Amino acid sequence: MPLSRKSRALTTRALSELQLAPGMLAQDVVDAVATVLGKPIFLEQTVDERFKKTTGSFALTPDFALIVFRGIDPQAYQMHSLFHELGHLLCRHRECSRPGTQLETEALELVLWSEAEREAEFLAFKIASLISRKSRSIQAFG
Amino acid sequence: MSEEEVAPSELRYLFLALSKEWERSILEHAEARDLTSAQVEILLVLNESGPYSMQDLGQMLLLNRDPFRSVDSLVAKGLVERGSGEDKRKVLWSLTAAGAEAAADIVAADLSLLQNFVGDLPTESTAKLVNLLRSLQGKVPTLGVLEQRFSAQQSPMHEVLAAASSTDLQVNRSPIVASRLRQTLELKNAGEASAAFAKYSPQLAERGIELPFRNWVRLLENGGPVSRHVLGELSDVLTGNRDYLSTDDENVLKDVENHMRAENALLLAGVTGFGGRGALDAGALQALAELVQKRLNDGA
Repeated sequence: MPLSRKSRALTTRALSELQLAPGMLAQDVVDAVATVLGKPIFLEQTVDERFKKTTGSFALTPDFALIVFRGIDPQAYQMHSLFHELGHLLCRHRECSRPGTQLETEALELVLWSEAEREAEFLAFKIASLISRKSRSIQAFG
Repeated sequence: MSEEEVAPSELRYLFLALSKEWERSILEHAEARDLTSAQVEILLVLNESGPYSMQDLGQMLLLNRDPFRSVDSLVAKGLVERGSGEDKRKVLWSLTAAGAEAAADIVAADLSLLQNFVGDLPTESTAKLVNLLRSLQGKVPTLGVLEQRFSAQQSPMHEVLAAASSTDLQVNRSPIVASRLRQTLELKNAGEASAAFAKYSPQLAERGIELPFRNWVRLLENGGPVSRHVLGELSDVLTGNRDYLSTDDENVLKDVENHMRAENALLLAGVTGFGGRGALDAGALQALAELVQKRLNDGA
């Protein structure tokens, strides 16, 4: 499903705050998002069995953000999971996420959450593409 | 008879005729317990939202006289007893276990009569009829009695008409429902009954369920009477699982309770927002809370 106009505007604005450039490393992106967020982001690679159905997750506290991704996944997939969770943080999805009340979510909020997932996924691909060393046009024309 | 014509006294006659027939059938059903129509109504009201003082009970009933004699007679039959309540200045009356059973029987008979009366009508026509009667009730002083008495027991019309028995449709009084509801609110740190009501009644209202506070309290104390529809919506609002408040399935119980505990752990760790890609089940939430807590302990 394509992004709505509102989501497109939100993700475009979020990306513009980062000033990503080809050649940047994943840690550079994390640092850039932390600056925008105004708090440190800690990364946690885990092999905890309890995350077996969760490729990535984030938790936001008043002092820091934590991103967890699965250590058993291929490196490229881990990277994608990281960028996806960064996408959530960039879009300030804590506003429509469900602090302690995930189970009290109304149908409308579930729809919003699906939209949030699409926004995060879109940003994950965008971030990967923007820090890639070769731009798409160069790749296309060899 | 023309659909466009009516005689001045005809509507009154129609109401009376239907009402008499319904009353006759209910009394026939209640014959074994030797109940009058006033006693039937008192049993229902006390079951729905009792205990009541004599004065408050009188206001809830469509009776022309004081309910004192009827209550006295119900006490003699072992169906009603003097109870204690939050208000020590008044004598409050409540149902005995036998009274609650009698009330559940009357509800079952009412369902059967309702199905007999309107079962051959299209569901939409029955819905229109009920709504029309409700709007007519608005023209007489009922002091919010309709909401007070029936909100918790309402179910979608098609479910009411198709129900094989009243127990398919509603729970009369269930200690399991009451204790599970209290435990859920405790797990969610929802506070006292009034605080929990303030928190969750708007969410129920969004789902079309206007539950009066009195019914909320009775639900916490008695576990009903409540329709399975209302119970399912409440369960969904509180736990994300429609069956939790009434199920016997150990797996459902364990899963929902673990999920609630994990969410609490996240809250306690100071998490203000979280999300995940894939299924964030109870285990993942708990693990996430532990990682946040570890960071906090490490002095993040």
